Amino acid sequence: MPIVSLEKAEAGMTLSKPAVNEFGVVLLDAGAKLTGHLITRLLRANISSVYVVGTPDRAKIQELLTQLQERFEKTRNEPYMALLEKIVAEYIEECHAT
Amino acid sequence: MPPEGTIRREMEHLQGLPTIPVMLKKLLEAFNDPRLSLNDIAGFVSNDPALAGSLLKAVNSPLFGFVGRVTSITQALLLLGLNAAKGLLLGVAVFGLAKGLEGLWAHSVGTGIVARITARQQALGEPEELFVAGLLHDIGKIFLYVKFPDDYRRALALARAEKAFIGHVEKQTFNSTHTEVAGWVLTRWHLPLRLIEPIRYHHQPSLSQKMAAETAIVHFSDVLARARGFGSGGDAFVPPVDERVWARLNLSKGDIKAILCESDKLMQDTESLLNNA
Repeated sequence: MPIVSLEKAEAGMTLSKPAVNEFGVVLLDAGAKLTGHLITRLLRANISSVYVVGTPDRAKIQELLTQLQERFEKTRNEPYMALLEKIVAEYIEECHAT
Repeated sequence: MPPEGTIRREMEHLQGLPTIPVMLKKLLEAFNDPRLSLNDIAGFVSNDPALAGSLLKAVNSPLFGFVGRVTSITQALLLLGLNAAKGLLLGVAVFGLAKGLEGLWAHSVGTGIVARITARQQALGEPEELFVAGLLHDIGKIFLYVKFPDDYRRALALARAEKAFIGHVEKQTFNSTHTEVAGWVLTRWHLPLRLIEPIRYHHQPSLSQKMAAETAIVHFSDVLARARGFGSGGDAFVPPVDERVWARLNLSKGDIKAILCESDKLMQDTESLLNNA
């Protein structure tokens, strides 16, 4: 479920999580489809980003996982580091899934 | 390689450098006063429009999560508390000197964000102070860069070429690391211990005696921010997590994913703040 800055959001995108303001009030429910008008109203309510439904970008996911692997190259065999790498990799996959 | 004592003396007199802005020098003079109160800081900041503007922008950003708008310096400082206020003002002043240390601002903000979220998860008081400690954890790199810009650029290039940790190359080049330098300078500048210890020992958390919980959080936050790829700490690798910290924090897989999720959102929300640094 990708996070999108409202300035980059487009009409037609569908929220995967509710849009909530700083007081915890739900302004738009999950499942709502964004329109230009709704994007403007959310921006006026100081919402800066929303979670939207996306299709998995396998190339992007693979790029991120490759970069993750490279970052752990020196310390993967240290205690807990392989586990941490696995958790972050799972998170990346889940983040970019539908 | 200069003897450690020489480097220490030079770093402890960092504020005498001509490249240090006047505003930072005045801020440090104010910090020197042990009777310094929030009202004193408010008065000082209010007289500097650029500093006041930066402080209000940071406090009103999603970084701090204060509900509602913060419109006055006094209100901002009351919400932050004295320790966090001093650290944040220092950060605003010092990071302006870090142009050329590409990615360090994003990495520092990312670490601060992870630290604040983790502090809340651990039910540790004053999460804003942990944000500031995370924000400033690599400030020693800026100090070294300001004092020895050519040598530090060479150290960064060497870390890249040899696929080494930047701390290891710093030790070879300067006979001291960014954490030692930060400890010397921030002690000289009268920052509170609650900020100094986590910054000084974020790579060796077991050496922290008085702020063990806070240091554990900043250590872990640095590791997680590097793992997620928030900005750059100067080298390309995730440092190893301390086993005792891992046991102490006792975070489940779900806890870590939740921290990552909230951190990602905050990093996204503060993109404009990151780009303007």
